[in-house]
Amino acid sequence: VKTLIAFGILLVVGFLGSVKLFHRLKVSSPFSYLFYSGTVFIFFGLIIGENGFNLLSRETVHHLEPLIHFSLGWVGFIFGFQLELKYLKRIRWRWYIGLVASYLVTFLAVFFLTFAALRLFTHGFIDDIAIAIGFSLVLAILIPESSISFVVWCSKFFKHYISQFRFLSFIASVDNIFPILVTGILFSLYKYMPSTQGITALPASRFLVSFGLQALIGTLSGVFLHYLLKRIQEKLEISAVLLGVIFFISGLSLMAGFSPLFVSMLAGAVFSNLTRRHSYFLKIITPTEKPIYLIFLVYLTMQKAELPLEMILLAIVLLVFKYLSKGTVFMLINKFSLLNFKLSPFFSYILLPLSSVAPAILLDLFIAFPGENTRRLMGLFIFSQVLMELFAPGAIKITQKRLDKKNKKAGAGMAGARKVREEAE
Amino acid sequence: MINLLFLGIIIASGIIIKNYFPIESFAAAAAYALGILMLSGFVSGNLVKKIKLPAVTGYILVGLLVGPFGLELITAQNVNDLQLLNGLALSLIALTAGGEIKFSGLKKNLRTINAVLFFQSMFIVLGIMLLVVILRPLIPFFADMSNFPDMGCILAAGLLLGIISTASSPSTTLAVIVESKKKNRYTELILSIVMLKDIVILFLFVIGLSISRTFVGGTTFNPGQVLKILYEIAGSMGVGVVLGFVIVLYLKYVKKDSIVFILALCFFAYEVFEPLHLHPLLLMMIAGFVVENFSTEGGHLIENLEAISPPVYIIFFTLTGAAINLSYLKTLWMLTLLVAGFRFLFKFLGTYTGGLIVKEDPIVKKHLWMSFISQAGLSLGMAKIIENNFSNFGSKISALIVSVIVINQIVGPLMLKFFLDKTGKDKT
Repeated sequence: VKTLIAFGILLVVGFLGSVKLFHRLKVSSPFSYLFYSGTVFIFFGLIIGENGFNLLSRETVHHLEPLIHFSLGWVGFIFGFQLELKYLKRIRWRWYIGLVASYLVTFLAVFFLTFAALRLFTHGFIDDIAIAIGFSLVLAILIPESSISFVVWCSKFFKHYISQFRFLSFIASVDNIFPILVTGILFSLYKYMPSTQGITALPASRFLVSFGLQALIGTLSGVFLHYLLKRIQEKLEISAVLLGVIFFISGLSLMAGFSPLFVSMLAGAVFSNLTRRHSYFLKIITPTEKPIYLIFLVYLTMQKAELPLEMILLAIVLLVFKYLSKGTVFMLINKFSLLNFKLSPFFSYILLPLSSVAPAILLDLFIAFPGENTRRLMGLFIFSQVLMELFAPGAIKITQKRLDKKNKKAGAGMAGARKVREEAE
Repeated sequence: MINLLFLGIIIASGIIIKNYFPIESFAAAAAYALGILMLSGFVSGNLVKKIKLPAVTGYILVGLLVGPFGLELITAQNVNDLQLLNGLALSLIALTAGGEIKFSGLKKNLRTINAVLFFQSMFIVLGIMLLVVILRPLIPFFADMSNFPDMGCILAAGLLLGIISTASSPSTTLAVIVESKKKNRYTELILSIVMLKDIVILFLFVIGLSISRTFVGGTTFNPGQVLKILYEIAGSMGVGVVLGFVIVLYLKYVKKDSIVFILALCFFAYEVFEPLHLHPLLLMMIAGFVVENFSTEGGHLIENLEAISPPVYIIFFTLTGAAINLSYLKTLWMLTLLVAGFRFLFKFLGTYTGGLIVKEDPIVKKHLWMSFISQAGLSLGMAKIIENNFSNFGSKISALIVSVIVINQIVGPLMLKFFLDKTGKDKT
């Protein structure tokens, strides 16, 4: 209850106070993106969860689980559906290098930093080296990904940086493929043993069969869906079929020990590339993304474990590292002239908040590997997400100032700045 | 043909999965079960539409086919695990039903509604009761002295069977009307009667229970039971009004993510108020009625609800089909057909007499009765109460009620569609 009250007071006082204060400073309220993205619903999770007023019985939460499983599949499907080869082929190969580099550098930085931190500072709760590797790996696949919704939100503050935001949007919309892919691999590599409450590695042959089956079910479901929807015109009937197929895939995947997120992503990608009504379907499915994100947040908040101080510090350090590593990649991109425009390292904060895929992966892992460490990861995610979104409006202001300053330096005064902007465009 | 092929693929894959994948997680099995129900429901809905039957019939039939009494692709445990979703779907359907009724229409049709309600209830309750008493020596089911030792038991059983036979299913009625895309005086009349009938039945049932106890055990009439039901109905209506205004405020001032809000509210209503013995169905109907008649947001509400209606109907009716207990019908089919047949007859006589007295048009007099055949949730709930309250004949009469409901739930949508088609034809 203490956490709840603290968070509630922070939210109410912070929101009311900041609106006035920040209005005077001509900066958006730090809560503006928190409300825009719906992350504020975390508070709702705290109210109804066990740490709050415990409004929902365990039985009710238990009965909600099929819906959560379905939502996992749905998020995977939505993401997969956006992987349209026709569009991806049009992107220059240099952009792909930028994408891989931006993900990989942060991945490595987060992995080694977390592993070192866990070995050095957190004795007592993660002593096992294999668990520490797993913990670091999960954070390393999650932290580098980014939210397209945040990039779009930020773009309105930087109207003169169209090319830069196109590149950032590309990264934010495609980089989710890596964590989902790794989750699929993790499901084929390890199995949770309820009897010992431990995780065992599966033999290589089993890995290949399991991964192959995940790929096969995903692909076949995509083909089946395409033929099922081929002749249906009615929007409402389409939604019924989509829901049915995703429920089916999600349930089946979990029954077989596969990742519903990965299998549905494949189904979505296959369906997306087979159908001729891509934009029509996109209009039907995208509005559902946000409600599902909200459901995830509420559910995650209800299930999360309390974070020890070391973990809170780790979350802060990881965010700084994410910012620095992405910024370093942007600097290298500029140095090697990979893109035909300059990308300020300040923009790296735009890739800081995580997308709805991150909570989905955590839930996916929580279902397959339920345990205290997964619950801690959930707590860590919630804390970092709130932190990143709180800083977002302030960071925008700082970046705007820095960019203006830099532009002024480069071209002596406002005229020069305008010239630099024009050149950049 | 292609729909049949798809149905075959879905069922075949269900059979393979059932045999090769052990079910370890309840939630995974429930999600998978829901997938099977939705896909097979959708395909079978399309199949039956080709032969001019309502999709609801397809949903119910496929639920029966894949359910615990059919191919067992969905187990009784799965059906039970999905009750929360079923409740959510029921709340959404009730909200839509309430939103479809206009106060002006209710006022205009009040005489017909009252007359039909009164005469239907009277004819069915007295008719079925009389039927049971008269046929007792001829039917072994009622002649069994171990279950029905005296005339008091027979009268009690007849009275309760009669009261439950009066009930109709608002959810099925609404689903068929929505599918027909018809909105006229008749659809409004049907919905109003069906919904008000639910309230009347609740009262009749509680009074009937008290009288039956007097018949059976000689206990005196218990006014506490009536007060309890009064609290339940008044409480549901009161909460419904409040929720209705909450929806109005949200749709008017917030507007954003209204589908999520409505879904959350329906979930909340079902989860919070059902344990308090309030009726989510009645409560949400009143909420819908308030939004439609006491604000300008009725159109928005219906628009939002229609956006999610097909999946909701498929989930609700396939689950209804899967939950139908066919074992009783196997043993009681002759008596079931007899009771169902007489129920039709008394529905016709009651509606005809009501229509005649208020000088309704011939369609109402001759054919409106066809709209009130389907039966579902409320009747099943009452059957369970009878089973728990009367140790001697409770389980027997409850089994008979369940098997009559099976027939009514399959035939009901067909007859309603027939009536709706008839009104269309006659109008043109």
